[in-house]
Amino acid sequence: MTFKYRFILSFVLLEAFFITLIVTMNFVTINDSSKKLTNEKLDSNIEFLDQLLKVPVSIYDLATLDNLVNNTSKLDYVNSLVVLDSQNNPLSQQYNFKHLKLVNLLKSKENQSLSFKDENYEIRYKELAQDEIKLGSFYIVFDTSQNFRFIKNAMKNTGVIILIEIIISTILSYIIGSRLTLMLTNLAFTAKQIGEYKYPEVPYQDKTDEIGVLSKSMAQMLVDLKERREKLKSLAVELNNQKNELIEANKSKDDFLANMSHELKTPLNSINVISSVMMKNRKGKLDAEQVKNLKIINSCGKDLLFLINDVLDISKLEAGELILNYEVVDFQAMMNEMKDMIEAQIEQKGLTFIFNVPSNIKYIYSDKNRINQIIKNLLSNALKFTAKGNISLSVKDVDTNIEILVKDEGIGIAQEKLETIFDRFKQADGSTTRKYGGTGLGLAICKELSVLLGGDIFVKSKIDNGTIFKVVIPKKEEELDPSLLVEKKEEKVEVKNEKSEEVLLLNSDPLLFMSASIAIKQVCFLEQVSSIETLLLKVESKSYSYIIIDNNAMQSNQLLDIVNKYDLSLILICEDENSLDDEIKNISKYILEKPFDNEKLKNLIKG
Amino acid sequence: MRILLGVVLLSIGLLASQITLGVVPQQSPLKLSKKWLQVTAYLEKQTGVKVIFKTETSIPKFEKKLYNGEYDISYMNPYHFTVAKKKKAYEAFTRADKNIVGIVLAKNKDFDITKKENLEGKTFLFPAPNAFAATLLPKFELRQKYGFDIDENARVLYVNSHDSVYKGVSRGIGQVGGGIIRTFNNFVDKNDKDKLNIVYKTSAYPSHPIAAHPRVDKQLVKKLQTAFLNMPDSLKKILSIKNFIVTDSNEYDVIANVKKAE
Repeated sequence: MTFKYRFILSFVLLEAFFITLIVTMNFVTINDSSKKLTNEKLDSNIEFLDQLLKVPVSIYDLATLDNLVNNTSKLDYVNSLVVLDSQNNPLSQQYNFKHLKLVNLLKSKENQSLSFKDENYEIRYKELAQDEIKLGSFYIVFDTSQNFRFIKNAMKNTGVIILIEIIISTILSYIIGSRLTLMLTNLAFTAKQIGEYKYPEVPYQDKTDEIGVLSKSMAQMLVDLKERREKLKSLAVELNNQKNELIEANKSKDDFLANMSHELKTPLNSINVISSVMMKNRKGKLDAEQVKNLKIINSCGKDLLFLINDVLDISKLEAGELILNYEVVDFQAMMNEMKDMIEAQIEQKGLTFIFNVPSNIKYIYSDKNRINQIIKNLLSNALKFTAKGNISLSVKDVDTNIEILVKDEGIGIAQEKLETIFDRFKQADGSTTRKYGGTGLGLAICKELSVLLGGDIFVKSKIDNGTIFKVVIPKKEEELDPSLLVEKKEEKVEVKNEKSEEVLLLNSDPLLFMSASIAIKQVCFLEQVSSIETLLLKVESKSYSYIIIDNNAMQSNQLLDIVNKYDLSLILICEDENSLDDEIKNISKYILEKPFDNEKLKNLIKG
Repeated sequence: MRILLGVVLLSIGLLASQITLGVVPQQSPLKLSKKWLQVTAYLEKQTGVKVIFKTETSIPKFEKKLYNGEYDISYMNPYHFTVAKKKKAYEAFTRADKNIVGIVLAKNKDFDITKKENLEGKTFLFPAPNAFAATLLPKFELRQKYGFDIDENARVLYVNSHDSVYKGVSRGIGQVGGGIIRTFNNFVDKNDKDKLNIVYKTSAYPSHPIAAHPRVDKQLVKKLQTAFLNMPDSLKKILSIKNFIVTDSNEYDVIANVKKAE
């Protein structure tokens, strides 16, 4: 039902209800008061008659009685009057009551009310007495039809008036409702057109009523809207141009960064290698100050290389150009490699490394290098920001994911900084970069890579208590071939069985030896130490097939002493074989120049 | 002595300037005053003496005042006159020229009133105890002529008016009723009238006299008599009197015994 008809219907129903209520109440009141008045009138008439009739009845003054009876009967509301003597014989009468015979009337001495169609009568009997002596009596029939008819007519007329009133008000409300609805419909249509980016003329603005106010407001809104749309349009164009420019600029930046990074890396490698060689001062031509400066150059070169690598990664990630290399990953092996790589460095700093990887997690399907990159980054951060206490690397198997937790007891991160910790160039503290170094890109890369791998990264931290990073990586076991899983295991056993050699590595440079250590482990049992002291303890207690030492990690004479003393088969890693002393060359079983080929090293050990 | 003479002279003077006219209330005082105020105005004009109209609300009250001699002149019925003459020496000086005849009515037109046995124990209806023509005359003549004393040998109801007598007889309240020709002729209720018959007429008696108290100056009485005799027809018509004639108190001697000695 439309608003218009709801309005009309409720208006008419309400009106009809209340009018009926009022009229009914009025008529009930009028009827009651009319009855009361009539009864009072009848009673007073009877009382008068009683007084008037007493004397003539007592002396049989029939002339007076007749006069009284005739005159009384002439009254509109008196139908009949019969006067009886003490023996109940009629003395005088005017009897016109057609609904009841006189003899029947005289049988009853009760007051009666009689109704016939449109006629109403009240019959009253009254005894005339003086000092308790009965003189006679009289019957009087009052005709109250007029009253009854008056009320009935009034009701009829009122009913007609109500009907006319309701019809008129219905028509009026229909007209008003239709007009109002028409205006509202037109305004709604106008509003719809405005919504459809059209600019119609708003009607009814000349009106002074509420519709006029609404129309004027709509017109004003239309003007404002038009202005804003035009402004928005020009702004959108401007914005689009700027966006295109920005996209272009960003692409140029990315290209530039990628190119520049690549271009920067080539000379930087040269700087790093040459400074590394020079700072050893094998020919003793450089003084201490020059060697120190060269070490600074080498250190800065390495930092710059990390920075360039990070920048290259992040720009690739942002450009969506980083392609994941999904493969079956031997998770245990991967984590052990990670342990080997980092453990020495952590212990070197005097911290305790806790490693906890449950053996039930065997294989996952993911990008091994990227997971390594994330964990390495987190561990390197933990190492950087922890002065004392523990650093732990643990793994949990949770449903379809693995959760890798890297926990430290370092300086911690303030709560308010946690939200932005994964943003680019944001370390917890602006001063952190200055104090601890780093690009500020590491965690941003971790985040991007975690998400790219289908997982995520979370952080919990408390100032001075330490930090926990949780990396969630999906296992994607559905991608794994169960048979392959078995095969791999067998293969692994087989490989392990082949291992006969035990090799000791002085891991003086985890970055340098990270991939090497992994390669070595495939063919032998590898033990890694981070300090010369530990190395000495190891060689004293046990004999190794090979011992791998970086030329830079030890003084030449110390190296000569150790090799000779324990008769070790030395694989020496150096910058330039030609720059080595002959003695050193002699005691070395194999010499590999940096950057060495891991496969070559592996093959040497395998023999 | 001089004072007494003065009082007498003063009262004579007063009497000379103002007299009262009492009228028997045969009709309502209002109706009477309408008619008789014109008469008093006429008399005042004719005699030069102020005439004050007086009446009472009932006949007994009127009788009481009349018999106390409170009216100077009075219009009364013949019986009243006989009493007033006896008690206060009123003298009649004029009357209407017609004579009064009483009638007796019954439903049965052959009702023989002369036979006592027909009347014994019957209910007689009369307008009032002292109504002259309707009550006293029939009672008087039945007693005188036929030796039947109604008051002793029959039941009597006084029903206030002539019409009530006629209606009462017609409707069986009583078997016999007393009235006069004029009121019976004027009785309009046809239903009742058709059932009635006049069964007896009394002899003719002089009609209502106008009498003067002896204190009224004889000259003034003479003037008043002349005035009544010369009354214009229009006024007489109001009083329903054709002519006034001269009368004297002796004319009413025939009815001196109209009422039984009480």
